[in-house]
This record gives sequence, structure tokens and C-alpha cells, in this order.
Amino acid sequence: MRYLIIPIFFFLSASATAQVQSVELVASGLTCSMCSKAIFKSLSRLDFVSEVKVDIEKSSYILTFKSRDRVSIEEIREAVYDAGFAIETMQMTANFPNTKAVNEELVSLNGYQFKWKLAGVKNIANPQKVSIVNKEIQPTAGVYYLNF
Amino acid sequence: MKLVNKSRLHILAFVLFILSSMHVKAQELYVSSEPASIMPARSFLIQQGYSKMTGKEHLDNINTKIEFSFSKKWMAHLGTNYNSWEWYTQYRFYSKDALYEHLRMAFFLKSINSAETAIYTNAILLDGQESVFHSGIIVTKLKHKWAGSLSVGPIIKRESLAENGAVGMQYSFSNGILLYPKMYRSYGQTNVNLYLEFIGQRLFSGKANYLDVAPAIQFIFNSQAKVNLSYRFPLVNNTNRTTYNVAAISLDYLFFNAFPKLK
Repeated sequence: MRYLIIPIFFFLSASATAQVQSVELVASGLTCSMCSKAIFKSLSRLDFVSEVKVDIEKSSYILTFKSRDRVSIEEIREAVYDAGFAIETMQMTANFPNTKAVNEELVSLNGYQFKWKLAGVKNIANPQKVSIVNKEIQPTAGVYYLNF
Repeated sequence: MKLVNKSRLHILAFVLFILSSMHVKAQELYVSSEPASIMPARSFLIQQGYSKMTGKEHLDNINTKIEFSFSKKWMAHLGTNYNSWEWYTQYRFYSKDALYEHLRMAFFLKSINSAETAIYTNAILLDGQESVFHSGIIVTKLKHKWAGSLSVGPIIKRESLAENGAVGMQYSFSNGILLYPKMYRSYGQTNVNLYLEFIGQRLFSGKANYLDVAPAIQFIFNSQAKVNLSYRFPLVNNTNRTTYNVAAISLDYLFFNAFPKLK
């Protein structure tokens, strides 16, 4: 029995890692609360988003998800742009499969292929907060670049 | 040029001076003009207004407007005003955003279809007293404390006497700030915005021209419903308009995500 439980435990913990836990974004182009509410409503209606926490003053939105398996960066981006605004910064808090981040190395997360963009090697402390550094959060040749 | 209401102009200058020295946030939900920004995609707004127009004549004006956006760049409205109905459409063709600032540009077309003909007026009336075509460009700049918007474009009077001229240029310059709250904490806070808008017209043929000013105060409830109060009066008036002072109140409500997203 003991020999059976240990592999199952390892299997479950492996599938629970390599996933995005939350996304924090700062929207740009606005100073009014009605504008902020438009973004809030647009993000809230995404079918994979469970909660949106907002700081109106800072134009920041923290998104948590119904299931960590389904998170769409494109749909989050589109929701902000549809409300009439842009994204200044987007950060993800995620559990990474590796303990080190190496420049230009590929990372698989939620079905996405990310690449690290940093000087040298950095240690990952899971759950790690990372930034998507692509301009306007649009992938470069199909890849999103991550930085600490 | 005939200058009118000099004392009121002094009051405006004083108010502007006080406001410019305060710590404020810019606002561009203008009362007497449209900013280049488009309402959120697939949203719907309904507005009910009442205005009292005075001068040499008195007119009471009830207006209704429904506004909707097809996408983040394109919106339209249908409205009734006095004895007319109108359609309006606006397309945003440029947008550059940064934190707490943006620069946007849009193009608009408007048609006012009135049952009346104000052919004896040497100005082109956009308040439903005659049928008019109007188009133009809007440029809106928002930067922390200041939100300014310029619009300029041709207007065509569809029925007029030859000596009055039928084609002119309409322009506006709008400014807005947030007076309250000082800090946003929730969407439930009532917002108070102040606006100062200038609306001008110059006819290409004929000599008529005017420059009106329209200060306004706006209350926003639950970040979704607005109450707008404005008073428009001429600073310069070289026209034979019979109504030129306009006190207006309007209420509007915005429905976010009113239409489904088409895939």
C-alpha cells in the first residue's frame, strides 16, 4: 500500500506545479473610476476567471482562476483592450517545474511555451512572481518572455 | 467682435485658476461634447435629458439618446432632440496609452433630421431646430491632472436662404477634472467632475460666428450612472440666434457587456 501511495503523491504534486496561480496587471490610459469599472467588468466576464481584485487608484487588477488548468493570456489582454485601454505591466504568480531560470530557456506553463529573458541564471522560489516583458503583452514569434 | 458676459468670464477665469492649483485627476466624460475615446466594447448607454433654451425666445427641449458600441473602436448613437432625430457614429483610429495618460483620435459623422427649418437664422443650429450634416476629427489628450479635447469639422445647413450661408466650421475645446473623491477606494463612491467646454462656429459664407462656453458639473453614481448639469452661454455672439443660453440636465446609465462577443 505504501509503495502505491508514494507514486500517486508524486504524480499529483507534479501536475499541481507548472501552473499559473494568479495574474496581476496594471492597465494604462485611464484616470476615471467608470473606466476602471469597464475593465473590471470586462475581466470579470471571462469564463476562466473566478475573482478580480481591483485597486482603482493604482489601476491594478489581480485575477484568480476557476481552474489553474485554463488561463488565457490572450483573452485577458483582449478584455482590457475591449474596455478601451491598454496594459502597462502583466505579472504572473506561478509554480515552475524547475528551480533555476536560465536565459533563453523554454518553460512550459498552462500550455504556453515561455522563454526566460534575464542576465545569467536566477533561482526560482515557488510560487514565483514573474513579469511578461513583451511589448503590449503580444507574443514575439509566438513566445512570451519572462523576467523576474 | 462683440464680447458679452464679461463678469461671467472673470468668474470662469477665477474658477480655472483655483482648480489649476488643486491636486486633481483629469476626466474626459464630457457633458457638451464627445471625447475621442469610445465607450467600452459591446456596451449600451441610455440618456434622458431636458434643456431650457433662452434668449430672445424660450424653448423647452426634451431629448433621449441610446448609444452602443460595436467594438472598442466604433460606436454609434440614435437620438431625439427638440423636433428632430439624429444619428451619430464615431470611429477611433488612433490610440496611444501610458500609465494615467493617453492620446486618442477619432472621426465622426452626424446627421440631424429636423421637422423644422430655421432658415432665417444666420448660424447653423445643432439643437434640433433644423436639419444639419456635421462631421469632424476629435483629438483627446489625458495626462494625470488634465484632460483636454479638441474637435473640428465642417457643418452643412440643409435648408437655408442664400444670404445666410449654409456651410461652416464647428469646433470645440473641452477640459475636465475630478473634484471628488481625492482617492478612489471603491466603485460605489460618488464622483464629482467639473468641466469647462468651449463651443464655437464660424460660417464660410456669411459673417456669422459665435463662441459659447459651457461649464458643467457631473455626478457619477456607482461608476455607472451619471447626472450632468450644464449651462451654456455665449462669450462672443455675432449671430441672430434666438436661443443662446442653454441650461441642461441629463441622466444616463451605462450597461457594461450588454451584447455578447461574436467569435
